[in-house]
Amino acid sequence: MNLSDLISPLKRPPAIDSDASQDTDAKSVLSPALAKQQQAFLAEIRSSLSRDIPSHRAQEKRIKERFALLLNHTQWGSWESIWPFLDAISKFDFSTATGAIVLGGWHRKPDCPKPPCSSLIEDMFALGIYSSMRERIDAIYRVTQAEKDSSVAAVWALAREYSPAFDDAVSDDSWSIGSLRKVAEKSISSLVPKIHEHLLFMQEDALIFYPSPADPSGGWRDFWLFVRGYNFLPGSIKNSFGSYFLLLQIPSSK
Amino acid sequence: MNIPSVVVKLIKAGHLAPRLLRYISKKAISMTADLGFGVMPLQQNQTSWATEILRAMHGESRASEVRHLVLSLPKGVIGKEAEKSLRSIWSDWIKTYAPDRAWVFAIQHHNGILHGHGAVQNVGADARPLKLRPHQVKAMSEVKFSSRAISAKGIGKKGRPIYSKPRKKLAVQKLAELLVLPDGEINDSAWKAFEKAGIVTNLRSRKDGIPISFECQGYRIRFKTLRQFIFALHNPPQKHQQKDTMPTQTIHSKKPLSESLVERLKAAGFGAADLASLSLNLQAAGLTKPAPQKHQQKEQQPPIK
Repeated sequence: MNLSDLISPLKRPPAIDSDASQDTDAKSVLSPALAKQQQAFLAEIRSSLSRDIPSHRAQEKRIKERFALLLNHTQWGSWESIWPFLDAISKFDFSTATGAIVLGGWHRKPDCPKPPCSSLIEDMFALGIYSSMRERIDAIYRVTQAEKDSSVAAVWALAREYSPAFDDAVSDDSWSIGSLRKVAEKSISSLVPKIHEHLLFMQEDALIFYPSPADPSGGWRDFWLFVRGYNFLPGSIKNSFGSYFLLLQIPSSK
Repeated sequence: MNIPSVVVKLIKAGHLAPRLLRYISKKAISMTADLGFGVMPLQQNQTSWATEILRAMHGESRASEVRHLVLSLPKGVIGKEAEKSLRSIWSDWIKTYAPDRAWVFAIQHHNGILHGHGAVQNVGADARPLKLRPHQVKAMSEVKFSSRAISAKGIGKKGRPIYSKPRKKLAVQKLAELLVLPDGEINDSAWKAFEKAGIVTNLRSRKDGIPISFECQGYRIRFKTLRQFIFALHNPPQKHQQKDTMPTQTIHSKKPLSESLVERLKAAGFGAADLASLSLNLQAAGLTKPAPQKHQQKEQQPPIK
């Protein structure tokens, strides 16, 4: 399913907290009880979206409507609760979707959202690849004999897809599962402290991922690369990200 | 040897170390410091380093980074002896009130008055801000901490009370309580009485009769100001907001999006309405509790009958 198809039909999603989206005080006067109710409602959508997608052909309209409800609202939650939603997003095609995504939660006193530096995105991207590789290799030893072939094929598919990431460390063409795992382990062990240091000293309290005229899907893609890498970080680091706030904003002209 | 007289003022303000150090070092004729390595002379180019040391223990404390004390000698007292006196008084002050804190002491000469500005590290190694009790501050103003000086109160420039007392109720606040009812309407009888007594004069009104302002004791006062006082009186700010399951993070930003970011988003196809919505959402994200209701009086400005 294309993400831009999903977004476009409802330019201004119905706001459950206010029927007047242009009323600047509408959001600020939301009572705590109502705000809690709203967040619970949005959390339910986030968690169910991933389950709904496999049968999206039958329910495409419903998914669109439900996804649209998540747009243009600040959402709060813990990292565990965000992951099913990100899993759902990963199933969409980002190639033509435009949007700005604000993600925060590292600091107690967040300030203006700022774009993340490109090296952090690159490191998160690399961490995502190497961690996926490690996961796939580990899965080989867990699955039954019948499923082993498909697991091995998945490992080679990933290695081929991101071959430059593994070429640097594997000198000859004789790749083996063991050597791929070594490369992945080595890279992860160097990337994790680097990213951790970056996150610790991150001045930007909230990150904004946004597109550019040359790269309309940059916002969604960078957001996905960041959160996928983040999800592979060790729990001790991830736990510092207590609760997040997430805002998905799409341009009304799209 | 004459005992110098001195005025001691503890400046009550939330000081940031860089700003204070910049201020006191700018026109300093000499600077000394104890930054944890003993007392030493401090050069102008070392102030940034000193700044970092003064706020090293501050962390995320809400207290001010540094405390600011001013020692002033009466007008006309100048010379090396006077500088020595200031330093010795300062050394007594530090030993008495902040023995374990780092400090910078700068001497300035302004219009014939020799000042000593002391910047003291507020949050120390104990992670607590410097506690100066009112009685201590009073003793400070009387220069009881040093036997090498006396209070200059009454000599030359009079020493001001240094620990600010609770602010006196403003005259306009009193006036508001008398003239404006809790619902924001003007108390007609009080107004007439005041007008008759000549306390309030020169009323200005709009064409439709809604009063705008009046004069009282030579000042022009707006009715809006009076209503704001009354509103503040009946809607005190709530210090301890109820805790909810919502996170307490705030995006406290008058401008949630930087100008460069706005430009980039515009270039990417975000319209003015999108940006406004984004800003609004970001601002709303900072709220754990709804903002207080706006005062209702704006629309209802009753004319004085």
